[in-house]
Amino acid sequence: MTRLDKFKDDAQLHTYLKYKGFFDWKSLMKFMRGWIEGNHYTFMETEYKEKPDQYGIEIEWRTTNNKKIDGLYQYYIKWYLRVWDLDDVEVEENGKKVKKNQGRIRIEFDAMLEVDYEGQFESRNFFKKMEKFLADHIIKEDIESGHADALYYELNRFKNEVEAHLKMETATEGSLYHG
Amino acid sequence: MAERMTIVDGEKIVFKGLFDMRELYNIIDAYLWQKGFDKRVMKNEEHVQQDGKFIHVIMQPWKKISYYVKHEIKIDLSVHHAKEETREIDGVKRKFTNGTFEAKFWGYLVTDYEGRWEQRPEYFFLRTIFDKFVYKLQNANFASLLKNDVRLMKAEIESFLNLHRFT
Repeated sequence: MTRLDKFKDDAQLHTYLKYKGFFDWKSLMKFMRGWIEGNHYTFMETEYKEKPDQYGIEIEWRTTNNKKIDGLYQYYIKWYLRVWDLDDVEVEENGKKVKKNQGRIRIEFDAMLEVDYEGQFESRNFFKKMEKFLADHIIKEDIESGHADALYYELNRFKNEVEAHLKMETATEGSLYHG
Repeated sequence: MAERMTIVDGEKIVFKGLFDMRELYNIIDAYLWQKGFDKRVMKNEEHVQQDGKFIHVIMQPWKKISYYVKHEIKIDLSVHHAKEETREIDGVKRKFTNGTFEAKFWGYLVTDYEGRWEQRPEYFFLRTIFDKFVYKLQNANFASLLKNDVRLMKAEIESFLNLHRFT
C-alpha cells in the first residue's frame, strides 16, 4: 500500500440503516439508481441476487459507483443492500388501497476517496520518493478539508434521501450536513 | 491507539408522551452543526411493529480541537411503541409521535488521535508525562468545554420535550 493509498482509508466513510415495514421495492431501486446517475456518478451493479426464502423473497444488491473529479481524485459511493421476507401487500394510504411491499431492509453505504487513480505518481521513481512529502504536506489539506468533506456531505445527503423515500422518522429536511 | 478519557458517562433522558420526532432530530442536527461537530450516524434502525414503531439511532459526532485533541460525543436515541397522532395547535393540525423516548449521552476527550506519539515506547512515555503534568490544565479546560457542550444539548432536548407536555 502506497502512502497516497492511506488517504483512501482515512477518507472512507461507512454508515448503514435498517428498516422493517412497508415500502415500494421497485420505486426504491429506481430512486437509488436515479440519484446516483443524477449526481454524475457512473452506476455499476456488481451483484444482484434474488431467491425465495421462508417468508418471501431474499435480495442482495451490491453496487460500486464512481465519479472522476479531476485527473487526481475520484469519488466512490458504494452500497450493499439486503432485503429479507419481501412480500406483496395491500395497505390503506390516505383512504385508498395501495399495493406495496413489506419486508426487512439493511443498506450499508460506503464512500471512498481515491487519490491518484491513474497511478501517475507510481510511474516514476522520483515521484515515488516524493510521495511521503506530498501526502504529508502538499495535498493533505486539499484531501482532508476539500474532497473528504465534500464526499462526506454527499454521502449524508444520499442516505438522508433514501431515508425520506422509506418515510423514516430520522429523515431531516434542509440539514446543513447535506452540503 | 489514541488516549480516550470519559468526561460524560451515560447521562440519560427518559420521556413518555407526545413529541415531534422529526423536529427533535432537526434540533440535534442543528445543535451539532452550530457547535462545529461532524455528524456521524453509526446506526439507524426503524421497525414497524404491531404495537407501534421502534426507532434506534446511535450517533458519534466528533470535533477536532487541535492537532492533538479531539472531542467525541456518543448519543444513543431510542423510541419505543411510537404511534402517530394528530393534534390541533392554534387551529393548525400537526402530526406528533406518542411513545417512550430515551436518550443517553457520553462525552470523550481523545488525545493524540493521529497516533503520532505511539510509534516508539519513549514517545509514548513522554506523551503520558505531558498529558498528566504539562498539559493537565489545558486538558481540563478542553474537558470542561466538552462537558458544557453535552450538557447544553441535553438541556435543549429536555426543554423541547417539556414544551410538548402541555400539548
